[in-house]
Amino acid sequence: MKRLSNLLMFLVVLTGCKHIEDINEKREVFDAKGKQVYTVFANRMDKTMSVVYGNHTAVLAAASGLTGLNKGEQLTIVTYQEEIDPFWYGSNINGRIKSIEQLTLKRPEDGVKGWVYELVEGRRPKSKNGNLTTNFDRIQEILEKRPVVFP
Amino acid sequence: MIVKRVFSKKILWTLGILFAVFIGLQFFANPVSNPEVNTETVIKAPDDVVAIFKKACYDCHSNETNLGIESKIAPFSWFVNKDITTARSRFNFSTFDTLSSVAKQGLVWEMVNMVLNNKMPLASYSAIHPKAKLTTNDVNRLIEYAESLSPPVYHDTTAIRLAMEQYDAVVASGKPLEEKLPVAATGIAYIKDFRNWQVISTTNRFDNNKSIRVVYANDIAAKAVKENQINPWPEGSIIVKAVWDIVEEKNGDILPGQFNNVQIMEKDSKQFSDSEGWGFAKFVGLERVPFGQTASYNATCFNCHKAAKENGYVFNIPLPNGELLPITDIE
Repeated sequence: MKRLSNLLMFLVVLTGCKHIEDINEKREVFDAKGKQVYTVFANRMDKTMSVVYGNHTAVLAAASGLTGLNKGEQLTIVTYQEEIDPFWYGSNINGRIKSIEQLTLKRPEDGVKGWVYELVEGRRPKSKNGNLTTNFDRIQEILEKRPVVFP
Repeated sequence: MIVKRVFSKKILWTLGILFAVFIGLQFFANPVSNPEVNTETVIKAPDDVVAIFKKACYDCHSNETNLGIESKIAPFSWFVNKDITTARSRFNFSTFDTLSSVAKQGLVWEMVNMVLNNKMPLASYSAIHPKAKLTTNDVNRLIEYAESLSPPVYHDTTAIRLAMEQYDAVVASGKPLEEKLPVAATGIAYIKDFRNWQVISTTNRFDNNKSIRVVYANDIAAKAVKENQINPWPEGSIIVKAVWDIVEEKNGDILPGQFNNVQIMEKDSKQFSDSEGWGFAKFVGLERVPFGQTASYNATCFNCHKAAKENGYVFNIPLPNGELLPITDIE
């Protein structure tokens, strides 16, 4: 009986190790759920890198230079920790996700008017002066970034 | 006794024939020669940096090859000659100063990365020439030298203006690009809908090629990344990198400047058998002009990508979970 329980214990430990090994070998990518890249930026002092995704309405608005006018525009800001690319010194690459934020443009009929901020995951990035930002500050910070141009 | 004498005679004959063949081979030894060195064209770098290059690289990458007598004896001389001819064709410190400033910077960063990835000096070479091995101080000095060649430019007003003008022009034109897709010399066509693909990473570079990038993968490549099945990558994998110039600020901000290029890697082992199955293409500017006039462009790209052999020759994929650093907050 003792032998059997030892064997079971051994198998449990072995399976657990294998599970951890499998997780360690996986590589995570963020699922933007159909949104497209709106802009990208980084800060080498904070060691952060951000990709901003926009839904169809936001991407169309950016292409026409009229961001912030159409109800339903939505931006998702994914901020990663920066890491040195192990294969190329001279390049930084994104590491773990530090935060996910979302801005949605609402209209009076939604009960609110203007951009609504939501922290989906992690901690809100600090402002440039090191203080915690208000929702309003953070919205301004994001909207100041120019959308990237694609061919 | 007779058997032993016949046997000894046979050995002597064999040895004699081998010796004669060996002597004969020496007429075709073709040892490497050193073309004349022009002081005007040799690399111009600080003395201590040149000293590092001389001890680790000059035997193959210069016209001042100084190897032992064994390198002049056939058949070894043939291998040595082949290696040195290839090395000099990649870059040659004796003619380094004939290159453009951009090309020189690119090569110095490539050297740094080849050293950091233990690709250079070649293990076979340093085993025979232990003095060629680089110390940590040597490597740090090379990094420092590379960084001094590519210093940051803060708040570059030209980069800011170009980015604004490009964005305004795109917004004002409002018309889609022609449907006909350009094709690179390597046979790879521009891909129109990559913006709908999975983003696998973002990178920004502080070397000679300052830029910010978003890297996309098609379904096959995205699945391979997530499951870490990248050595080798499955056939049909396609990776697209969109590249923008950067505007760098003193507070650490790296903002996208004007759009620069789109780079594509396609895995097709039949078509690109000389480069581990990878085909490369680059399309420059909003006009998507193919870069590289001939198919030999593929070899140029692949030479750099050899540094990422462990990643199946692809640089910009996210690190496996087990290798990611823990989250830290910079105060």
